[in-house]
Amino acid sequence: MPGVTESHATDFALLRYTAGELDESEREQIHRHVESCERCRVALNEIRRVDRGLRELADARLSLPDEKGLELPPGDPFEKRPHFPVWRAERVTPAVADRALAASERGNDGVGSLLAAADGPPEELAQHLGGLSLADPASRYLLLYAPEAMACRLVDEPANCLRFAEEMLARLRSESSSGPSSEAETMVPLAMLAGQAHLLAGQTSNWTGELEKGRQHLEAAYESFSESSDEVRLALTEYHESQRRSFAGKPAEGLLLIRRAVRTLEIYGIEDFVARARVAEGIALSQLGRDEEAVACFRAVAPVFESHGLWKNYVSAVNSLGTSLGRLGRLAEARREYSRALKKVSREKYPALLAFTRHGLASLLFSAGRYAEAAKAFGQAGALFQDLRQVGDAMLSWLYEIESWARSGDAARALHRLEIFRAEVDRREALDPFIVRQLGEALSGREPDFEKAAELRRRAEEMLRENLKAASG
Amino acid sequence: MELETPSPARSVVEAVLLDPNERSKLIRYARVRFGIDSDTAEDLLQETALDLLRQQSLVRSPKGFVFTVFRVRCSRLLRKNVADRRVFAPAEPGTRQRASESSDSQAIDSRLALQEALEEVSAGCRKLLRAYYFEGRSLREAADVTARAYSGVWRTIDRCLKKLRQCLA
Repeated sequence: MPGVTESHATDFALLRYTAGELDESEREQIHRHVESCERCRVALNEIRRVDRGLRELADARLSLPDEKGLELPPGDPFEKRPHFPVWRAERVTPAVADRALAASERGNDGVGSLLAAADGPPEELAQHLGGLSLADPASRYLLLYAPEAMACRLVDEPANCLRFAEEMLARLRSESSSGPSSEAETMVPLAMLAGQAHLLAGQTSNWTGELEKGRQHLEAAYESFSESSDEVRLALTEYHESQRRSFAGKPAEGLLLIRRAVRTLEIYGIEDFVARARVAEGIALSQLGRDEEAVACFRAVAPVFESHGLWKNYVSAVNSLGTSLGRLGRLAEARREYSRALKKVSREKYPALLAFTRHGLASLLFSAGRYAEAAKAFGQAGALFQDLRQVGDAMLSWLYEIESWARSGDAARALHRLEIFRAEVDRREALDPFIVRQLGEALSGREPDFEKAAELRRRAEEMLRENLKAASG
Repeated sequence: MELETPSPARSVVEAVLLDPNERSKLIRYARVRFGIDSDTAEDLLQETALDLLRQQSLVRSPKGFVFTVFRVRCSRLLRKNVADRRVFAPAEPGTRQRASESSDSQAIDSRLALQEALEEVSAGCRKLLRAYYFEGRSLREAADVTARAYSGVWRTIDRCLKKLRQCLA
């Protein structure tokens, strides 16, 4: 490995010199050479700049392009980022920019009433959208901002979000045939609006588990944002598509997409979205069995969510961290993370998040075989959910609590909890009573059939989730 | 009487894009860093304003965001012109440091330049760099991670460093 070739130091030798990795004689040789060689002095300065930059990237935990050179299959709609056109046909003068600013403010002011219409009967939203003139740039800004405001309601109102996105798409389809106004198009292209509606529909479909529908919408969003040269929203679409692929059992593709998205989000300094994307990266890594790397992702983002007050994301990161640590057998560490989170999430302000955190801790203990502790934690989570009238979540926790008591050897307590559960099921007609009866049979007797109990619990869990989804619209 | 709170987009546009000092800084930056003339830089600034309005909900650090959008637009234009063989007048030597006076902008500029440069190097080289810089391994360990012979590592890194230096120069 030469340090100096053809009378000059190699770049690699200069890097090792910079990093202090040379032995004494090599260091002396390079030092003497650089003193007397202008070309190598310049090269050394440039290498120091590269080295400093790379160290800063590493300190800031920013991403390198994917190390494996993995590629999506040819023809995949997300295979590559498009090349954007540089110059648009319409020149943007200061007067256009001034008018755009005024229009964006008017658009912003209209978001509240459009969202109120989305809460009303279906015809009210269609009527409101139909009354907007898309030749008016203010209407375009309104339709650009409204889906983002709507997405904040996604967890509680998925059906409303999907309806909003579909109505908006119908409105846009009716407009494209009548021809756009050029100034409005310069300010907010129709393709960008279509991208927004598809993105909202795509993320909502992911949330409700309709992954095929999500795929169609996210692909359409990607195409629309490519057409409108919107790099940041392309990255956001990649983020949602990455999650979809991970849920659909393609975590390697999810990982590739999320790393592409992270690089863009980092460049634009959108710190909270970088953190969200890191969670998606961690989930993909964890599904690939790379839990050590997943742990690093989840650990890095928790303080970011905390500093932005994004507690829902914080709890989701802690739960994912706990799961990965549990899989690595680092139970004590995982418990410390949970107890830290339980102290941080305010019971008064975020009782539901506290319940989810406790449920996460219980799941960790359950998968580690600490059934008695798991049973207590599931019981506490169930009580918290019940206080919040989140009946479906409460019942899921109780199901696990019953199985945990049985697995811990406390059959009496398991059957007692099962009786209470049965009464609740009868009262709410939340489950097929036959499943509950079978569960009772599996857990009774001298040798409970845990395999059968787990299978029944999974079936009951699916049924409860379906009911929950139906209840939320 | 209640005072009206200015919207974030307006405050950013006014603070960054309508402020003559900020404008002239950005225009000078485009000239010195990319060799882009003032009229073209003015046009890019207007486009940056439109981008800002489109993405107002995603703006976290307004000045940084404006600088990043503007720089990305300058860089894309330069790349296109290089591809079309229409290169602007090169920056005067020694003016790079004065191109962006704020240290924030300088940091963003260096980071973006390095990230763009990293897109240009081979996947094998990125793997080595990841192992060395991001995972704290020595160069010998990096060779093990990438299943390369140590004698091959120096050639890969040598080529990669040459490319990074070229891109940053």
